Amino acid sequence: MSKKILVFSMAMLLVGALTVTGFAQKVISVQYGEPWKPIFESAIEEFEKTTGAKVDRMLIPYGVVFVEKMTLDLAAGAAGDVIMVDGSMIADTVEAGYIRELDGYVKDWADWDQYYPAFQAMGSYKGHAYGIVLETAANAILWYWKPNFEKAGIPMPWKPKDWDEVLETAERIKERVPGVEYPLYIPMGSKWGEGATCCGIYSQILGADTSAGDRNRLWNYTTEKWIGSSPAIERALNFYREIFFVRKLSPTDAMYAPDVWGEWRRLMREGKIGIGQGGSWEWAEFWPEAERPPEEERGELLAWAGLPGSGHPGTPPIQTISGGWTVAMNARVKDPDLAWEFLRILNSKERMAKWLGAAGKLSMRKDSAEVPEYAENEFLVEIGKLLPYSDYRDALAGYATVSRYVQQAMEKVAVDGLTAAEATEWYNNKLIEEFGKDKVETIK
Amino acid sequence: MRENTKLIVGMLSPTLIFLIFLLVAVGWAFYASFTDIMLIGPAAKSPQVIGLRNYERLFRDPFFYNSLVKSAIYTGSVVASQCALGLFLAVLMHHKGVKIKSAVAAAVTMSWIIPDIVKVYTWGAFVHYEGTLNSILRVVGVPPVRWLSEKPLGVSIIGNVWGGTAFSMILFLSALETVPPQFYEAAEVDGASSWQKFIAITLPLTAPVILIDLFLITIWTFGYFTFVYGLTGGGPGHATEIAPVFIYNESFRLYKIGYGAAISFIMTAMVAMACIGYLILLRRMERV
Repeated sequence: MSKKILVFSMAMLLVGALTVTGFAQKVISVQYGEPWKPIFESAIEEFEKTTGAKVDRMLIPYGVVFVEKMTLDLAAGAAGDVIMVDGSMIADTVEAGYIRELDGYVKDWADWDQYYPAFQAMGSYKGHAYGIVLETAANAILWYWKPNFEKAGIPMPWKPKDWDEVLETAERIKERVPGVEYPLYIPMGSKWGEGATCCGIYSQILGADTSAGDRNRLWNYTTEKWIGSSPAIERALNFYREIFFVRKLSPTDAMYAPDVWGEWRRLMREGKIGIGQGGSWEWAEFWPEAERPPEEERGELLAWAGLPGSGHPGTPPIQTISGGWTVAMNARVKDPDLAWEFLRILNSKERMAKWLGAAGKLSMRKDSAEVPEYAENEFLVEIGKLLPYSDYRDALAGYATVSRYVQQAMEKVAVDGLTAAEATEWYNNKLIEEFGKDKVETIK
Repeated sequence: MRENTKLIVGMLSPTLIFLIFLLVAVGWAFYASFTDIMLIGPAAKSPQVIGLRNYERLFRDPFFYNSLVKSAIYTGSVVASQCALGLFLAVLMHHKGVKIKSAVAAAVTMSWIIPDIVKVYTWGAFVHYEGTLNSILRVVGVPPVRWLSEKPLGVSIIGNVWGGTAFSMILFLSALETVPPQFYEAAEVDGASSWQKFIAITLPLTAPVILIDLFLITIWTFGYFTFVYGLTGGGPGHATEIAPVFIYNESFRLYKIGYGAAISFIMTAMVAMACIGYLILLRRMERV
């Protein structure tokens, strides 16, 4: 009898041990890029503490092209359970069957209502939620290095009213400050990838014409066609041609450096750029974390101006574009409830607002204003004023391909010296080849 | 007999496993080249068979022809320079009177053994506008050059030669060791100059090894992706878009994996033809 009790007790102990071990060994993998490391690391710490589960960290370091790496990992089935997806790629990623719908989770999540509708839409496709926007920004503003402006005798604060003024200011820097290698730096070409579109030319296209009939876009939402040729595209390409080919305001070597992002930031913080077009996040990112000066010190060196419209009748005084990175759930996730728990912890009000405030990034939540670390950040208050002038990319299936052809069209004018009309014709033909004549239109 | 069978099976199994994996991958890529499969979008989930459309498109694509021209210039220049420089260094190393040969050998070999990505960043820093090369040029009164935008293909070629010469040098050095020293002694007795000895003895006796070296570096250089992609990404524009970079850009940046597979097969056929040419030449040489 006692032997039976012993065996039974041992069996129960074994079952108990296996259960505990099984729970403790629950693992989810989380894949994120280095710029987001602080918020992910803090969320991971809390997640592990509260759930007892482990997180397999899949950090993608600086220098790796994040979008390509993530896409390849998704295609190969090697991506994490929780992943990051560029807002412009939600449609393509959903269509590929890579990410899981989150409707069932967000409907019971009180925080979801704190997201502005535009940002709920950014992570959604065909009315269903797939990603939660983690950050947004003004993707294209004009940064300028104050000591160079002083040397060139350009009054500050600088507020250019049109593209001509931007070009003339850069010419003045080129003339008067010989140490400036790139009087006007603007992301260009295929090595910059999506950065050349979202931090570069798309803001110029939006600011090149009026918004009536989607004349200033790459996609016409009324006719549901890609715009292959338009005055806006041609004007924007011509602006690039002026910078790179005609006025030689920016050598192209930095656009093809081994690490283009790293090189652009180095050039800016070393004062080798006069005016540089880039995202509002650069306020913090221009310097590596270890070398980053305090905000007051940064303010003495660096300032920014809104990117003006082209100056053509009806164009906006300031134009920018807002992208955003979303966090999503891999369609192959084994334990979606656990992954959702991580997403919930990651996107909590306090964590989000504190990180955004520290990183100089804009919030997409209404309640961030209640968190002092965010609400009292002067830089964010000022940048936030640009949001009424901000627009969005055409996050539709096919956008990634269109964006790539836009980048190549930029190279046609900036490197090959084609006229803007020739480059636009080339771009139009590529779109027709890609999507068919009935899916591409010309705006006169 | 039984022992022999076991040995044969044991030795063949790794080959068979390797072949199966290779054939599956190649077979899939071949199938993909006849589809519109992409890495993202609906065609990632449900690709359609489109027959020869990828191949038709390829032959109408000016970027494909551009990549062929760039690859021909790149591969031709790298192979010729690396082979010539490797031979020169091997002869130098083989010569007894040269004192600094250990230092030269170490420097050349070091550039070969460092990982590719380190090589890219090192070379990128060397040819950077503010880099060492321009600093040296400034000392001798030459104004600095923006190498990566003004001579991108040239610096890519030289960088690759810098990184790969050690292989040729080591190969030739071992070939030179097999040349009987009596040949040189006899030539010296006849009053032959160094150049005459090189033409009459060294070159003919090492010719098969030279051909093998050419054969191997042609295959490697034609398919070598990391260096150029890391250094320039194929730019500025398409100035350095050699075939492997073109395949990568189409497959992974435009996400057209089916089209990329079609280009890969055409490229493979081209390399195969070049290899057959080398092999025929090698066989003829062996007969002589």
